[in-house]
Amino acid sequence: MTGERQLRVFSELQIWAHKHLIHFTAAFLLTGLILVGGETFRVLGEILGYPIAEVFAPEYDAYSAGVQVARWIHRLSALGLAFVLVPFFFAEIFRAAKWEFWPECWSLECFKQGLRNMIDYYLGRGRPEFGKYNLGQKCWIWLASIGMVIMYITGIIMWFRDSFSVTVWEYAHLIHVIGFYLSIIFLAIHVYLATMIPEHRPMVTAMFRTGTVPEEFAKEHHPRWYEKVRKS
Amino acid sequence: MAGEKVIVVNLDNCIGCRACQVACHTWNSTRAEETSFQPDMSYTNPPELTPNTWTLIMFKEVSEADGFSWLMLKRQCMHCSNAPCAQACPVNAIDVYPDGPVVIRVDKCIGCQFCVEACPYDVPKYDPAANKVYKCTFCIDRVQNGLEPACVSACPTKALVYGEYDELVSKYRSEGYDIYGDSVNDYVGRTHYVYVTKKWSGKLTDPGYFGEVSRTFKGLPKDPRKPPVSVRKSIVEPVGWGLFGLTLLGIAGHLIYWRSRRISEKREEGEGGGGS
Repeated sequence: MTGERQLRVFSELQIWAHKHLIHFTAAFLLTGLILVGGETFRVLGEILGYPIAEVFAPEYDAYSAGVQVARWIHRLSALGLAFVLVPFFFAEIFRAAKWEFWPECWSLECFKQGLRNMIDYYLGRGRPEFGKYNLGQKCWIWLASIGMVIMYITGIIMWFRDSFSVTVWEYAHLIHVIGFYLSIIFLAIHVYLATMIPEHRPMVTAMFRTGTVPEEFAKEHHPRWYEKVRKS
Repeated sequence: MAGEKVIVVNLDNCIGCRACQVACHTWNSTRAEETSFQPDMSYTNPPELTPNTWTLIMFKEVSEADGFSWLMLKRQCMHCSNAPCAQACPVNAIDVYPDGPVVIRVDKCIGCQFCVEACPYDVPKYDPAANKVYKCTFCIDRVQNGLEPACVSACPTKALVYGEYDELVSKYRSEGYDIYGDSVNDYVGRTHYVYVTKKWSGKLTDPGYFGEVSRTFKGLPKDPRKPPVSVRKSIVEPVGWGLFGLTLLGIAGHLIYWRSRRISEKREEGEGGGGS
């Protein structure tokens, strides 16, 4: 593809934020699994806790120490991610009018059309008829963003649970756990569709390295967006 | 189950002397609480269970047709057979013994308070200084050595009776007592502390009597349950893992579909190329 014209799809800031989002998500998932997984993921807790119980807290049970450390890593990851998300939010919000993941129309017919386009695209049937993002990608961006806000709110309630009534943290815990399952389900789909389908790889290169995709790829996979960029 | 133990609280015999409260402090070496004046809480002191007070006599005055009556309700962990606290604990710090006691292992407790969330009787109490949760242990250290729990042995009026579960419950039932605890619901199972009374027969779960005995304790509930906790454990977790499994299957299916499509496309291309 050397020499072919490249189109910018992701900014440096988006690449940076996405990269760190992956690091922190890995930390969230591993430590979250220790908390919700019980006996199934006990080994993770034991691995984390054994050296700590051995060196710092001999009076502590190794598994308990592991779960305790997992809780703290979970919270510190939330704090660390906030340092990525807050500047990212302020950088993005001022160009909200240019976001490509707004719905293009609101009718049921339009939704059905979007759904058909998306299914055809992922089954490799026909030419895609969408812009930078298809219906599934748009929903994913919205779900992940709103989901993160909900996970932050419910997580903070549980972190500072003594400032809230038991009923409030019971529901926060419930919502947080529902969020966990939705996260692993949609993350699995996201990671698979983005990385495991060879035809989609230029987007992965763009997201992790260059920020750009070859013109031919844009024309083929995101035709409406390509037309828009070409005209501008 | 044979060998299952019970502590019966005979409400008709309780005189509110609080010997059980003191015996509990003494045996477990827990600090005594500073008393406070609680005009709306009658003589209940301290007003709630605390990390140091694992059993407490709740006093309540009720107005009846023939005047006022004292209700003295001993409160402590109910030692549920289906202990929701133990199921909620992420570090298995709560042991449920087959003969009944539900005991928090202090060396394992990490102070996350998931048990506090799960308990419908508002029993486990968190101590921020120790970052641990404490509650009644059924005097496991005594009963395993053939002694009665400390509160039972201190009770001067036989308002507390310790013994074999089925034997004692059927004895009180045959004597015409109203019983709370031997069969509660699917959330807690049955409790190893049971309340019996003739005097307040039919009123054990009546909010006008044993309900609202403190600012936070809503009395003996007919259907003790924590909906968010039971939904999380019995619906969200199995459904969540199930859907995740289906997602992985779907992904595997798509992968196979996509690969086979590519192979057949390449084959067609190859055939096309050969023909031209």
